[in-house]
Amino acid sequence: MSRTIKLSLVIMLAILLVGSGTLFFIAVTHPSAAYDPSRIQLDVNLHTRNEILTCAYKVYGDQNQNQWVAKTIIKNTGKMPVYDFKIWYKVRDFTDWTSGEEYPVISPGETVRDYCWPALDGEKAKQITTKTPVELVLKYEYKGLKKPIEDYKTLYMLGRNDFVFSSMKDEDRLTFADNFDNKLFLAAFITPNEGTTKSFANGIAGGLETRTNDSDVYQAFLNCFNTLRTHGVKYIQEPSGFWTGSEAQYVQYPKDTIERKSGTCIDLAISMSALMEAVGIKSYVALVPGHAIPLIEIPGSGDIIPIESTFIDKEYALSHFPGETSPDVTAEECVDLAQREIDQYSSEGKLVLLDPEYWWQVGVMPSW
Amino acid sequence: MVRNARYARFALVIVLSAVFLGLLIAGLALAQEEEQPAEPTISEEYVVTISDVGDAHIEDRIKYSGKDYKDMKQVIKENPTFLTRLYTTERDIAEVLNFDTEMDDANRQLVITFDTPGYAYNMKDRWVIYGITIKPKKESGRTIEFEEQTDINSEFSLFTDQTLKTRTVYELPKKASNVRYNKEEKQVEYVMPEARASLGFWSQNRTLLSVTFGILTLLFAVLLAFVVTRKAAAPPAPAYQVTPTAPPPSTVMEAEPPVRDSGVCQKCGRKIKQGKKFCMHCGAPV
Repeated sequence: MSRTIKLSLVIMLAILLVGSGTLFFIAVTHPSAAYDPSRIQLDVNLHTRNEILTCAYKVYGDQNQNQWVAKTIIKNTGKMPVYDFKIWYKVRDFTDWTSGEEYPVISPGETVRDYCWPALDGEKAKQITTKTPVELVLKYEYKGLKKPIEDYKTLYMLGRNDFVFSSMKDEDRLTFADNFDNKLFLAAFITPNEGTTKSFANGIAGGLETRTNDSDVYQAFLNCFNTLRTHGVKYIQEPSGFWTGSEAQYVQYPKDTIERKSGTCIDLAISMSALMEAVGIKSYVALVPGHAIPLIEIPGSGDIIPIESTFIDKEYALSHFPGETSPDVTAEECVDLAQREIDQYSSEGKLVLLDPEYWWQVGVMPSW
Repeated sequence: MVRNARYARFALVIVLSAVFLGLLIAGLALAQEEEQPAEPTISEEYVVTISDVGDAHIEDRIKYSGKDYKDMKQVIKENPTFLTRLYTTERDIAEVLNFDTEMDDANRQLVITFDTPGYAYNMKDRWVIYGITIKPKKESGRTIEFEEQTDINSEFSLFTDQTLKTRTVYELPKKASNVRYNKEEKQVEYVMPEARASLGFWSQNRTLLSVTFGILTLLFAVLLAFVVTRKAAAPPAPAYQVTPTAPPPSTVMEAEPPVRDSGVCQKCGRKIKQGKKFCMHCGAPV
């Protein structure tokens, strides 16, 4: 081997040696693709509702209602997949940990949206009379994590009688119906199966065929009005629900109205709706500007009949609306009066109709 | 006379039968008309394009009649948030991104576009799009289509009762396979390649590369050592030609060292290249 060849070989081998040595060093020192929890990068953002309407606490536990209490957006921002991600929630003092949702793998760049539908304790919820802060706790873990991570957010449970008409932001409200965005939750106040309500209703409809006979149905409606008047129910002005921080009202359950013998327009409308439903008559509640009116549907004809329920209080009707009716303020007159109101607001597009049976069917069940 | 009466009766029967038949046909036609669902007045095409990581880009095209389109355009002009407000909550928590609306006058349609991260869920052995309650109309490769007709009364119909025909199309990722609609679970399922760390080629093949380059480094080192330590081969000695020399002239000259014909330095014994007059090693004259 001549010196020249030898020299060439040496140079070539030296280059190859340096090259392969460098690549070997890179390969050995490069991060491994093997699962390494310390290199996981997760963005876990917990969002909660500001407030829960305690009256409709059952709705929040129903996955079909889209009324989540909390929502977590989990994004894998790193380059390592996350395995066996599990997530739980609890509303401290009101629920146990939820059964937990499991996501077997979250790929790099993947986002997971997880929802919290807690089954709130009805008996504890019943005790809440004013807006109460509660703590929502989030817990999650994944493969390789030494101990679960927890996060907390405070939200508010409104009093059992507090009702917020709309959760829409002021700037988003454009139509009249937007002011009653939460109308579905009113269905939870209509409790036809509650004991006191049921007993009262049975007294109203005794001897009448309220499922199929149109005239009996109408008669039961008038009886309901007259029986509440005989019972001594008075109309009262609603107190402001200022404590909720939004447009709200203290709403009574039918049992409260019957026992207290008084109620606001919405209390009376809800009570009449519940009493009618208790005897098998389909009912509605119309929400119009500053007022609520109960209605029933006549099964045969399909006619919708309203009644001015605040005029159950004859003294109030005569003192505040003299000349509107005869001195007797009969139920029939109150039907005519309410019909005129309904027609007027309907033509102005300022009427929202609540169909409690529909909302019960889709899951907004009576609370207690 | 009797014959005329018979004809008259016969004609009456014919006329009555014709009237009865006509009424029957009209009644049947009317009944059939009533049974048929109302013609859709609004049509919607809702296209969901899913990325490799389950994010969705949604393009919702809602086509109106001429009058409805004009009304909708006017309402949106007066209230720019008329439709966007419906997405406020989702936008606030980044569940809806890049939201945009556009009025397409040429096609009398409203076009809503937005992105939703995490639309499909990764269940390791398959990806799932939940909450699809109707059976697919068409399944072809990575595309799955649904059609339904509903009665609506909402912002999209300007709060009037209208019939909406919706065609929903899911465009799944290019790598998706085994696309199917699971009617029991009411969900669309598909399979994607297994998730891996996206740390690049070096991380994916670290062991293989370490071993390969380690062996190569060792090999080159051995080869280099071998080559370096190996002596270079001596060039073949030149064949010196010994020619008889004439005796020197008999002039007295300083005696010169005798010329060796062996090509080897007399002093140090090293080889001397041909034609050299001195030993390149010890400097001794040849």
